[in-house]
Amino acid sequence: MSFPIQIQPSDVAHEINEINRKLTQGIENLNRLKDADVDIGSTPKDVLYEVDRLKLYHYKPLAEPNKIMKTPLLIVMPLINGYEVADLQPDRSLVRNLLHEGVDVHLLNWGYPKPADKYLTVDDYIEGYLDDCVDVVLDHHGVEKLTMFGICQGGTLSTTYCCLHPDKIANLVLTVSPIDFHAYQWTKEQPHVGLMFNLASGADIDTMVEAVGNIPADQLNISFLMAAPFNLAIGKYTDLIDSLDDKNALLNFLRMEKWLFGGPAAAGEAYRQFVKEFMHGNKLVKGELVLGGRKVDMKNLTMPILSIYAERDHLVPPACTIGMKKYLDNKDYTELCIKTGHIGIYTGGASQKILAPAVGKWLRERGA
Amino acid sequence: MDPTEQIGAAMTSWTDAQKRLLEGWMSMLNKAGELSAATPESGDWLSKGTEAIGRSTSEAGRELVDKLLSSQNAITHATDFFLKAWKVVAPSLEAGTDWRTDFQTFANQWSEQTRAALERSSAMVTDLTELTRSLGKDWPSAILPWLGFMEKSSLTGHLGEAVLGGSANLTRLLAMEAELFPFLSGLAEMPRAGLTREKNAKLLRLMDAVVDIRRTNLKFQVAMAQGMTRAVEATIDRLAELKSKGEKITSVRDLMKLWFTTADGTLSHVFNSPEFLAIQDAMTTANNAYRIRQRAVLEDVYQTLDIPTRSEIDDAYKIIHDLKRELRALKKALHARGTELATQPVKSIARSTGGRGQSKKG
Repeated sequence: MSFPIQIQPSDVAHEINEINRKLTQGIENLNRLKDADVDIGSTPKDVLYEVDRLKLYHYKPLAEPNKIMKTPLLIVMPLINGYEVADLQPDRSLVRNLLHEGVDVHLLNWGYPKPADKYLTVDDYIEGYLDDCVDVVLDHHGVEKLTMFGICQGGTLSTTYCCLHPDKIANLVLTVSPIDFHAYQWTKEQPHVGLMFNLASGADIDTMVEAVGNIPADQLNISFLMAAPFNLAIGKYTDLIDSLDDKNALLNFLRMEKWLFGGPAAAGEAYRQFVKEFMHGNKLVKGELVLGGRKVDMKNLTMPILSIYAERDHLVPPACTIGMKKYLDNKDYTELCIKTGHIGIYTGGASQKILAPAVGKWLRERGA
Repeated sequence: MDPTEQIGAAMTSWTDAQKRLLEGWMSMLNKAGELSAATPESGDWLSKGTEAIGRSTSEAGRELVDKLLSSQNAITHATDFFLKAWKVVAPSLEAGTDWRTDFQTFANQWSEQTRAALERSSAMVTDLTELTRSLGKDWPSAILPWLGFMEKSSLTGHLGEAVLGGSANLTRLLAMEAELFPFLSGLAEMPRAGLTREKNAKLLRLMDAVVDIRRTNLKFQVAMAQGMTRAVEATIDRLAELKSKGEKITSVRDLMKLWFTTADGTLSHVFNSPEFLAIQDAMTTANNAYRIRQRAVLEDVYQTLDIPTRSEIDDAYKIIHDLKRELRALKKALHARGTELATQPVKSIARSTGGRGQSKKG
């Protein structure tokens, strides 16, 4: 018979009974889990500095003391994601992998903005908080420069900071960071690529910020889910039924869920400024961005730069990351492509063996 | 077996099995939550059951249980809709004749039903009675008497007259019946020509915003419905491809996978089309404008009750923010000049105090 749907009633009954069995067992497994089991961001660390919502972490070393690099590294997170994506669980942790490479890792956790933080601007974040943290790290180690490591939007902020304070930066590492926001044009052939940029293209940001103050994390999450609504909102939970009875697989899933849906809101003014000046205006690469009364000039990026992008990144198209090179006057600029997606670059199994080792090697080659 | 009969049988099996599945869950949930009276027909059984079964688990676990059960619920609805469409086109597909005409008829009927349902549920309200009833769901009780009077006043005259301060009933609202609603007495003492007109204009703008929300929301829902129709059509196309290759789908979950993947591909195009983006932006802006205008009206009420308003709190936030900024700039300047703070490096303050609650630059 050529009829394509050959679902027999008896098969349906069997299939649904099987789903029922797995679901029942899985829910019983879930019921035994406690909050402490779903731990994320668990690599041991000290709080080196704390102000307002911000915390600056200094991670405890995992390499032999004589193998630890002298130049400290500061990871700058995006404003709209929890820091735990860099340290999701022990076997999927950028932080832990960098520590094993001998990197002295610090991480800037921006925290969760409250209504009182709605007037924070990109200027406050970069020239205020980020500059404070850089000074604290430099002072703590008694060195003149550090390596700045940007994650996604954190890379955009890092690049901007490095333009303003090149004297404090030894190396700049960017991962899936949008720099040239107009380098990629949305196409019908790949509709899910750059979807977030496209969604934000016509949004009335002024009315949005006036109405809600800080932009809620849920509102931002919907933008992510719009890339594949059925699979991301329904399909992945259906697929999970098959692994509900595997505690480790279940915990992996739950940790990712906890990170995905536990992100911070975006401070209203900073969000408005980022969307209008960086996304819409593309002012960073145009040389039109002004922070604290100072022009942000990409020609000041004279430190070695390593730009890492994900081949299958649909949130930040690779062209927007590596598009920065044409605005540089820098001979020590390196690119690295990892065959993964935007989040997979930090949490994917294969990337664990590529990202941190590559960064470690690149840093050592530059005397870090 | 005739294709239609086969699909009919599959649907019956699915429905029966789904019933058993629900009964199985129900039994488990009842056991967990002692919800002996709950049945799948009682509206909140799912949430109650989820809450009960997740009582002792982690927060992430509770959320996952909710999503798992919701996803099964969504699958049931999606399957039902998809199989209905499939049943319509199957005979033509099997006979090798044009199935798109059948599908278009089905899609048009569904689209029409959807539109009618949406229009019923979000009727374009110009009638103040319904509008006030609708607004009452979201508004604090403090403002309801005001709206009640507005409603009453509109019965005897033109709506615009009622809200613009020209009717006798509105005068009753603002003055004569103040004893009934003491919190309104302040309103009664306000200069009529200025403040009253201003307040009523705010209310009018809010009503415009409500109408905008409903209008833009309807457009959005219709656009979504059209997108879903395209998604179903694309999935049937995909099934026709399988048929031509002699491949087959043998389980509901495989069918769902095909449906989700094809639908997502189609919806990616829909969601990124300039037309859809314009509709979505308009709806989002309408919702945000409503919040802004609602706040403006409520703030008038709060001011009358001597309750701090959001705008006043925002002013305070702004002042604190500006002061912190100023302090940071001052510290930076002092530090640069090598004055007092330079001799006691602020960089070290965080460490010397354990790093807590101290900012080098404010």
